[in-house]
Amino acid sequence: MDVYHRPETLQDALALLNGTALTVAAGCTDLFPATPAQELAGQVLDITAIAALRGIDEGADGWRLGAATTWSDILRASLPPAFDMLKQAAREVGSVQIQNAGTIAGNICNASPAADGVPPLLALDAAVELASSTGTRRLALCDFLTGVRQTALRPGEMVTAIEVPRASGAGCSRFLKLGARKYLVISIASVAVRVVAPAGRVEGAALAVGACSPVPLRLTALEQRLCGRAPDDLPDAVDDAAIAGALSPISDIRADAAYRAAAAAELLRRALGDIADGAAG
Amino acid sequence: MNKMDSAVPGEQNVSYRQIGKPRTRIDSPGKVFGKTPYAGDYVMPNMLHAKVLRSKLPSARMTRLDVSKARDLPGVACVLTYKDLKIGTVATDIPAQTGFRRRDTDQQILVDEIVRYQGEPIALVAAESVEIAEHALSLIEVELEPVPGVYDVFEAQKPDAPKVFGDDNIVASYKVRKGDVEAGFAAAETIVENTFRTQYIEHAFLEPEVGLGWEDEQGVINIRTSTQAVETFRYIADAIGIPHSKVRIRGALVGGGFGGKCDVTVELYIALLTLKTGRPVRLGYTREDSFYGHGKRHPFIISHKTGFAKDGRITASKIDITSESGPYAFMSPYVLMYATEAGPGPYLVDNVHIDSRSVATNNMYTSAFRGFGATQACIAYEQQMDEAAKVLGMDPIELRRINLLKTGDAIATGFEVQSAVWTEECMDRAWAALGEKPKDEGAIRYGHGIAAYQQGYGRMIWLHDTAEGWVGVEMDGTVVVRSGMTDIGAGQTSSLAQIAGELLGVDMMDITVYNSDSSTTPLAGTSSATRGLYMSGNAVRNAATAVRNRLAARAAQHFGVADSDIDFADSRVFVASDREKSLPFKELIATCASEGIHRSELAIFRAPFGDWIDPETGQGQVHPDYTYGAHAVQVAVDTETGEVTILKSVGAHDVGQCVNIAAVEGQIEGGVAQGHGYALSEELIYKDGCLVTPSLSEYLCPTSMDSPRIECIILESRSGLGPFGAKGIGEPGHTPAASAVANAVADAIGARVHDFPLTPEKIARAVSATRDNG
Repeated sequence: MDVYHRPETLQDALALLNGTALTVAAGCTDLFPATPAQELAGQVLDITAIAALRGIDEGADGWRLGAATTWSDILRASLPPAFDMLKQAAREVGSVQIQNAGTIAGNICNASPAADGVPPLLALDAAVELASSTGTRRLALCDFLTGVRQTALRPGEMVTAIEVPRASGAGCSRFLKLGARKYLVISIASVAVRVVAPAGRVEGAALAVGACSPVPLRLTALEQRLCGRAPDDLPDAVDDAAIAGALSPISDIRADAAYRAAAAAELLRRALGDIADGAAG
Repeated sequence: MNKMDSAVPGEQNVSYRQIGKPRTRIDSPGKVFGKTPYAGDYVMPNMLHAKVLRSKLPSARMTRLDVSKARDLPGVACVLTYKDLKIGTVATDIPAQTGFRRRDTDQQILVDEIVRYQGEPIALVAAESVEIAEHALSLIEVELEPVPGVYDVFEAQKPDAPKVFGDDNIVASYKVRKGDVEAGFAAAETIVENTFRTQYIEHAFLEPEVGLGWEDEQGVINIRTSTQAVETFRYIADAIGIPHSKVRIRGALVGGGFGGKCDVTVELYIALLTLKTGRPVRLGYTREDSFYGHGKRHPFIISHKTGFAKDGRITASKIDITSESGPYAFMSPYVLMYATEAGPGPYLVDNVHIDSRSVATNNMYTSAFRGFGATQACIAYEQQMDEAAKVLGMDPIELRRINLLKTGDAIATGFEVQSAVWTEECMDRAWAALGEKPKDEGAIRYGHGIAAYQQGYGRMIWLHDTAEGWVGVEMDGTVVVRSGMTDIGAGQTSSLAQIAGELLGVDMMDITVYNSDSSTTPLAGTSSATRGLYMSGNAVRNAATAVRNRLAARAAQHFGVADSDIDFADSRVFVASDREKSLPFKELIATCASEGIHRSELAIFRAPFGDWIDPETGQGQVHPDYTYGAHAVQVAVDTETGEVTILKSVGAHDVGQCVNIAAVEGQIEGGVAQGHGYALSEELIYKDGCLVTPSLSEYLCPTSMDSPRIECIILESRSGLGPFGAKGIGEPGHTPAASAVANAVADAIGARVHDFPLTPEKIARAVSATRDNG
């Protein structure tokens, strides 16, 4: 590589980003496999020395997860049951070594359709904080992810935090994934579900599916159908045809499209069943 | 148990002091404490770093190759292309033991015009650093013009197919004709036909290929490398145009081979670059290089047509076998021979008709992989047996029991196996170890599967296999063993220490083994073909026995007893009938040394030699002997997602005689885990010759989460041809594991997936097809 930058403040990082094409690096767990040569090309901006970018803060409005927060940090954090799905996903991102290095912002910026972190964050209504030397803006995660390996990042911008609103901290949640082996595997399909049912009736539900569309998707129609039901009745509300219609899976080396859609529906039923059984709590 | 009491050759009721015990291997302390240097750990002053430029296309004509910019890059010492080679080809046969070379295995070292597979080497670079070498690769200007290739074994056999190998793309073909197969089918009550397919797979050893070469003061090109075969030094010498005596391969402990380090890879490039530059050269493959840079396991398509009498006895077996060789021969003819020989499995079949062929394509070339074709044969014949049991309405265990070969029966090639055949005992023990099948629960269904097998050990007898070994006793009574055998992580050297130690009464930890040096250790052949212990164990046994006999004669003279009354143990020599009469071993050695009694021996072991089997009938002897056993598996299958969980996995094998029972268990456990991956998740996928799974994130080996504890049931008939009656177990532990998984899955879901690997998707589809039909 030409130059390796490792600033200690966000201000320095943003100054470097201004006007220079840099590869932003955090845990590098996606960057290295994507680099065929033994070195990275061009200039690299390593953001892991910026202390302010790592860690989880809870405030009156909700939770703020610093961009360089690792999956292991998330696993160890004290968070309400609504975040269980995020922790369950954290445990499935690569292996323990990967979880110690890989970061939440890296996962979303890599914009893989199969990113395990994205479905839970969608089901938490997460927003992305983007900063540049000229200011800061916020985008809903679903607007930040624009396609396969594509995001709304502008030149000179970087992700500084993921934010979860207070209201999304309600309910129980569950993440499930399917791969061709038990562990250390890229998802064929993944689901994240969060259900708010304080009095035995569903008041709100958030369902997201990964690896079955260019960008992981919320299933809003199904979410609405779940409202008002008893938790035990939730799995029956999952209709295979409707799920298949909402998704646009591809056929690749990992699985074909029809199997992906069917698997997603089955995983949704199981995740909702687990919530009904209290297994998700 | 009646089979165990049958009259089998071998020593019965013998007891050993070290043999058969679960001993810590002599190579373990160095590995556990991180002291063992592997080939990649060696460096030298003034060393260059090498890289290989590979073709990105699988079938092409090279129209331009300009390396001038790479040569001009500061820090680049050498760039080699086909134009720089004195001899453009290298042999790819089994390292010569007969002295005869088979020219049809020669292949180009670097592309001179035609590219035949993706990854075929085009140029070699040696530079002051890895980074400079990589940069130099990017400066090499290559123009490749795609030419039509062929990527399917059936397309490749059509008359108008592009020719990759010879006139017809047939690399080898064999026949077996035994009895009258048509009469056998006429006599059959039921005929069962199935076709099974297996996939390309990768060895995925932990340590990618690596080596370091240098020229010494005698002008010898030395290569320290990770290999199963130091005897490839002759092919390297021939390929670089210097005498055999001027190339020396020095192995190191190997970080996994599984057949993938039998062929020449980095060592030849290192030799060429060392010869050219006169400087030490190191070449270490990345994982990606390793995926593109060595031959894979053969995909097979095997069709069985089997006739059964009313009582379940097999009346005829007609088998059609096609393997994919890729564009070059490598070991494909031999692998096909193993698959052909093993075709009907460990069953007594009077009427056999087998046609087999290995077909060239522009997909990746294939070569040795643990089991060497017998594994793929097993995947077919054992799934066929379960499918037949289903059609016949018989218990799969009983169907096998009726048909299993017994000791003294003739196998498919007509050869009557002389050693014990304990398949039935192994099958019953493995099956019983599974216990009761759990009750199905929701989407989860449970299945039990069995697979029996026959696997030859040692080389095909027409290769006239030999191994040498040297044993010597030092003045202080410690022992040195010298053997050219490579140690590929299975405890090869440790077993030699244990054998010499048993015979000389010296603890194996007091024995040093020098091995794997093509110039200074007696040549012993490769560590492959389940021949390491068989061949080198016998060579070392012969050498140690000769030394023991001379020492015993001198001790007998001292004690005034017969030679046969002398025994050795715990570094003492004593009179067996009167143990009070004893001497420290080193005192006997001092006496022998002062009297000039020879305290060392170089011995040779010769396997049975023979001729090729009859080319028209396939009848004759192929292997010296065979290992038999069975594997049983319990699975849980999620019928909605198709996921398989292996709950129990039990291998039962007659190993003849354990040398180190802990090492035997290690061999079985490793082979079984590899079999689990073979059945369920591992697959190299080539799309029009291009690899689309070139990393360990797409190529899925089982993790520790995917394999249960593997149970080993070890039987000892003491009837094998190895030392103390041992049979080989390096490959056999692996051979039936994948078939057993497939049979367990089929038992669970009530349907068969005929194409490996059994991915969740294929299983879910098979389940849903049974629902649609039901």
